[in-house]
Amino acid sequence: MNNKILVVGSIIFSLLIAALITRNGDIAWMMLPFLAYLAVGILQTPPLENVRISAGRTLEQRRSNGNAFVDVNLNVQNQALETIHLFIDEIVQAGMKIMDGDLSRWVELRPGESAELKYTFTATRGSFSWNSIRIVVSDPLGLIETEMFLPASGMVQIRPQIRRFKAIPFRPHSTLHSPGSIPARLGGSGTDFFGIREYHPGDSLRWLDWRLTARHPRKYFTKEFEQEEIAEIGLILDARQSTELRVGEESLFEYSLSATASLAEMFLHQGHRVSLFVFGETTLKVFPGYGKVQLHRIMGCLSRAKVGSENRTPVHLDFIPIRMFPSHAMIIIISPLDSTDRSIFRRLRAYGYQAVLVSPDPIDFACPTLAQDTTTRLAIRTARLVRRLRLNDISQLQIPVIDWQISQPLFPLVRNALTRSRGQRE
Amino acid sequence: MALRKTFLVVCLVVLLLCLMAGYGFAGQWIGGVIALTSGLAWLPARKYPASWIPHLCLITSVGLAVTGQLTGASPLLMICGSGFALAAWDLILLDGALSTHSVVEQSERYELKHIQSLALALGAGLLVAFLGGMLNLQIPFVVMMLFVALVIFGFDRVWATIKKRSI
Repeated sequence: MNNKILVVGSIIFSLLIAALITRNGDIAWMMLPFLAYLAVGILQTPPLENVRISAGRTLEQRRSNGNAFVDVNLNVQNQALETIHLFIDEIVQAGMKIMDGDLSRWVELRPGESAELKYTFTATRGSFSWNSIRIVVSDPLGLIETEMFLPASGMVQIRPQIRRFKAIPFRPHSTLHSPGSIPARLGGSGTDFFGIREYHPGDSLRWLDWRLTARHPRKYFTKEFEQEEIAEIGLILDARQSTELRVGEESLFEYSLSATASLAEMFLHQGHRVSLFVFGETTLKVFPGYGKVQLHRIMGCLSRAKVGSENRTPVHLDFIPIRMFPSHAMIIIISPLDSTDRSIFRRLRAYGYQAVLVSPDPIDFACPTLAQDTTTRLAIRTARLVRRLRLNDISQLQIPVIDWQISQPLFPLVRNALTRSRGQRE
Repeated sequence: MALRKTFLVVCLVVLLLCLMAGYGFAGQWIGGVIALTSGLAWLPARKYPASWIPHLCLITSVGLAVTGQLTGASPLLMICGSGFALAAWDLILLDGALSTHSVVEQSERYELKHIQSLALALGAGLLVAFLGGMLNLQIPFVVMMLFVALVIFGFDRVWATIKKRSI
């Protein structure tokens, strides 16, 4: 029941009551235009059993990278034998920014005729899916409305923006026994010379060291090469409400997420095995895997990642199920850090993981919007000191800490941290 | 200017003329001034069609028409005024629903059909009201009560039909 019919109904009823109370026939006659209006509406309403409509949705693309324009095309066809009047209404989802076109429209459709609704939207990131489209069938005056949801499914994934990093020649203290690009400090098949050992039956004659063999009669020596293997990388993205900071349209979480996407892309491009855990009031995970398919999985997961809502119970990084990651993996935590987060790093070290912390600086992020008075400056200085102490506390656990001021490029910081961490062993 | 806007202006002018002339002929200049003021209130209603202002304007105009009839203004002008108030209200809501979307042929057909239906309803309603106003029947009280009961029963049936059809 819509507002129009309520208003008209109320006026008719009020006029009737007024006519009866005042016993004035002219007031009763005044009802007639309203009654005629109502009658025309009722008589022109199509019977529900005769209404047959179909709908379809076409999306120009299924996946796109951040800030891309997505064209959506909706088609509604009248399959009934009579003309119908309807309102087509598209359901807008959170995060969509409409750039062009219409999201709703009143149309008259003759039998077999179809109406199109086209619009273009953009979003920084997200996974958008639709199951139906809202249709309101009514009389031409819009008095008697019948709402229906017709199936018209579609999905589009807008992935976070990636900054492509060059390959970093890092040396994790443990590698996976699978051919890759990281020197594994083990003799075997590779390209770099590793050492010489006595010949074992089965060794290829190509690798015999003829010079040494010539110097030691009746003994054979084989050249060994350093094996090159892949690394096991685990990425943990902090999506807790307590560590999120928004300044206007910008969000610190989006920077962390973009950094995670870039790191995942870089590691997978180098051939490493990568897993992801998005930790917040709700969690998302991608189990370890390689290659392009894994990159699709990770990007899909990151496009769905959201910061938890404020009214939930606060969660600590300690709740992360770190055993989800294979033992001795290199764990990269991307988090602005909370005051209670030190213990997770201790646990990671205790379990034998090699940890790296990438911490976007919330103070630097918020600074441009803060007042420039003495008190604020002192407060900023204190906050910086507290953060410095917190990061120092973690770096004392032999964990490389990247204090990332988001205005700076991340790549040189990651490269320095990963190449310097080669000597850090248990 | 779109067809609906032209009709809206026409309806508003007729509404104002009817109410002001009705009050004017009855010698109630205060009523005329109030009618003029209520006519000005339709302007913000046109600007904010999704708000409650159009509904309030319709109720005010019908209320003024009823008051005019009770204070001796011409019934024909008052009925005409309330009828055109209904039309103005409907056209404002139509304009609000259509103006935010781009114009396509199917929307234009919808607009035309809406205006045709409105004209049919208004024309039929006013015609019957004018013809009915000329009739002067002396109905006994019992018959009138039966007639009222029939009207209320009719309303109940109409209401049931509307509820059945609108889900």
